[in-house]
Amino acid sequence: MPRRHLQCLVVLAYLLVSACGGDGSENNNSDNFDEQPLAAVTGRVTFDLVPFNNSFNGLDYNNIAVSPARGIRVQTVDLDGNIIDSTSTDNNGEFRFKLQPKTDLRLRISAQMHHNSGPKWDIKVTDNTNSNALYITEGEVFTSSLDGSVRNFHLASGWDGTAYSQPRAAGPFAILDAIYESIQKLVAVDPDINLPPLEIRWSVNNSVAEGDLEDGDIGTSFYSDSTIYLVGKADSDTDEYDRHIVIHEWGHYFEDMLSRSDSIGGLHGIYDRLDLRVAFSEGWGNALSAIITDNPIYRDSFGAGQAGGWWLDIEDNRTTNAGWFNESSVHSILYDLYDNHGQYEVEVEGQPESQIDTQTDGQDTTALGLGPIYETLVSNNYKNTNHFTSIYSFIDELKRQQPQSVNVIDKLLNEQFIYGTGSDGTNEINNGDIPSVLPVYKTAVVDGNPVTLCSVDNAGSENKLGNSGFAVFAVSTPGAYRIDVNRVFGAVQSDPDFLIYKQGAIIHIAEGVQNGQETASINFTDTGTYLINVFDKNNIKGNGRDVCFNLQLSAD
Amino acid sequence: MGGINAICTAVASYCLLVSCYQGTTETQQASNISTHAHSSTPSTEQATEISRPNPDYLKPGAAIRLEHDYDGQTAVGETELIELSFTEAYPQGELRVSLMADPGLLIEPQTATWRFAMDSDEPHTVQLTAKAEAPGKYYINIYASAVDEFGRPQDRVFALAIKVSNSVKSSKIQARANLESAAENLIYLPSTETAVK
Repeated sequence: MPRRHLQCLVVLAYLLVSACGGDGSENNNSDNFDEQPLAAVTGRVTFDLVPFNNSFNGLDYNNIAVSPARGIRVQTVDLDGNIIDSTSTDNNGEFRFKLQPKTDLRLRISAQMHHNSGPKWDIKVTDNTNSNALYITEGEVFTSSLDGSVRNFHLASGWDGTAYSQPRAAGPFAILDAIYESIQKLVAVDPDINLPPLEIRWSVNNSVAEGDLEDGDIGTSFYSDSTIYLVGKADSDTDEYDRHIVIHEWGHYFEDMLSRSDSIGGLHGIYDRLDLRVAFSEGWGNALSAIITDNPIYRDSFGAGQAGGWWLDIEDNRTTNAGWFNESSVHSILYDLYDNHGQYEVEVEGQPESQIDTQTDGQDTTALGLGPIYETLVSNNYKNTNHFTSIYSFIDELKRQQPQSVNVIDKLLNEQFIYGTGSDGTNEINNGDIPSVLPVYKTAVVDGNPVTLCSVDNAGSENKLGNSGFAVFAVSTPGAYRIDVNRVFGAVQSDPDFLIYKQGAIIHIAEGVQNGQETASINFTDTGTYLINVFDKNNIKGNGRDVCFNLQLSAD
Repeated sequence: MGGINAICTAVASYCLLVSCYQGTTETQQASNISTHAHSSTPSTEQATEISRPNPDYLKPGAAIRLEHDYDGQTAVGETELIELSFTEAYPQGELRVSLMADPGLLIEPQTATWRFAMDSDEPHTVQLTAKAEAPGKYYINIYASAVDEFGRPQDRVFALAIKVSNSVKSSKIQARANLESAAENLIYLPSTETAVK
């Protein structure tokens, strides 16, 4: 090949790669097309990634890894603060610009990931205790040169061996690294995934105290309304290096934005008997953290020097209170659907490696991978189910999409004492020791007999199994219908309320304060299947009591 | 420009345009919360979709609630008596509670672990005193662990912010306005920049 043609191909290849940041991200510098020779500015961004210690549950500052900051926005900035060009780091944390020579500039690294061709995402880490300011770092001013410039950046943890005595610059980039890993796994199953903007608010001031978000008193790490809040207060509870927690909360974002969640949120533990909507959502978050990391040991560090913590094994199929209402049942099923471990190793803290126990993984004989789980969650059937999102609605759609796997899926379900079928859990026999919760959905008929729904606090309050009673009813003719809920037995003092849903959307809230009764007259313009959720408000607020109500539907 | 170079540039330009296509951003709609109270003869209301604020999806942990009687203000040098009340719904096992205060805040008892049987519906209470000799915002970190009958712990960390005298903000790295965009603030982190050449 003639030398001139070879040069052309090299330039062409370079332009194609560099113009999109090396990974199809962004680059706004049209000057790249100039005939003039350009000055290369390259470099690499790294950060301190603090791992967990293998022998206990806290962070291990003795084994900090210098990790590439992947997919991170890098910008060239002129002396007036104007952005000259933008790109993103590649999988090795490397970036590359081509600029006019003899340009005075500095480089800006932002805690931001942005991708707008092919798969799309837009994520940034900000400080809620500082006017939601975006975390960035900038380098020194230098002049671009035809000889090329190489400028590497490192963001440190701030740990001095005994404490965080320096700014914790690595924190935002550790958080983004977990999200980057999550996105890459989803891109592998959906190359055109379009993730709406997400803001992650983290601060070294974010504590587990309840109070004002702008003061950092966020209560705990949580997701709500396109935003993830993460704790960061040293010696109390920090989550920036707790990868499973970051991904767990990102899983809630995913549900909210690309799938559907009817979860009512709130406090939850892995052995709790939960409202089925909460159990599925939290079990999904747990399972996703294990799926993304390919590490089923979920860890949460906290305490003095971040040296304490707790853990759970997502792979472990043994649990207390197994069933459709248990998040650990849900996460063990979802992870078993994903993984290909017919056997797994049980690692006990402090145990020598030679003594690690190998267990047969129960009924796990399937290995669907993430693809079918993803396809189920984003399917229209799942998102438009007439019942609440739960293990039932998920499995119902998964079986429809994976008919060859029905038998092995059923084995996984039965191992967790889940026997109901269909999106409504028909014929479920596991009541979690609370008889009133079965059937999962009672059936109410317009102008039919009353249906009894109970609200009990046997499993706790707020979002636990039995706090709410559910009924399904059909509206075959548009028009006005009256709904009466009246105490029939149980606690004399009660405050019944109800919500009506259509395919997950709330279409009516009745929360009067009358003792023992609640009533509404609603004009239904759409026919179809509706759900009603009846509860005693005392069981939501924590002043629990057991009470049952009769639900009566009548044409108005 | 030679022919081959012109083709080369044209192909590159096209590929760049295609590969760097910028998609549009989705927007979301939000509407107000709507709640209704009813008498025994309710008026008929339309069945229309109601938007509620999203719930908070919390990270996993022990299902333990903390309530306290701290009123939110403490004078310098004042000894504040505080009662912490823990409720849980575990049928068996043990609840363990320990405390650690920020430097400058003296709590009594200083080092103790409280242990409660979880087979009762009654709240588990801890009394302590807190005192600081300098104004500021101090935290009492509260580590709670619910250990079930099989010895498996589930933990949750709480904290109580003690505001002494005039409350002050925690120390922060100061954000500064972005020079080219008043809409976005930036917070500057230190980094090590190495110029290789």
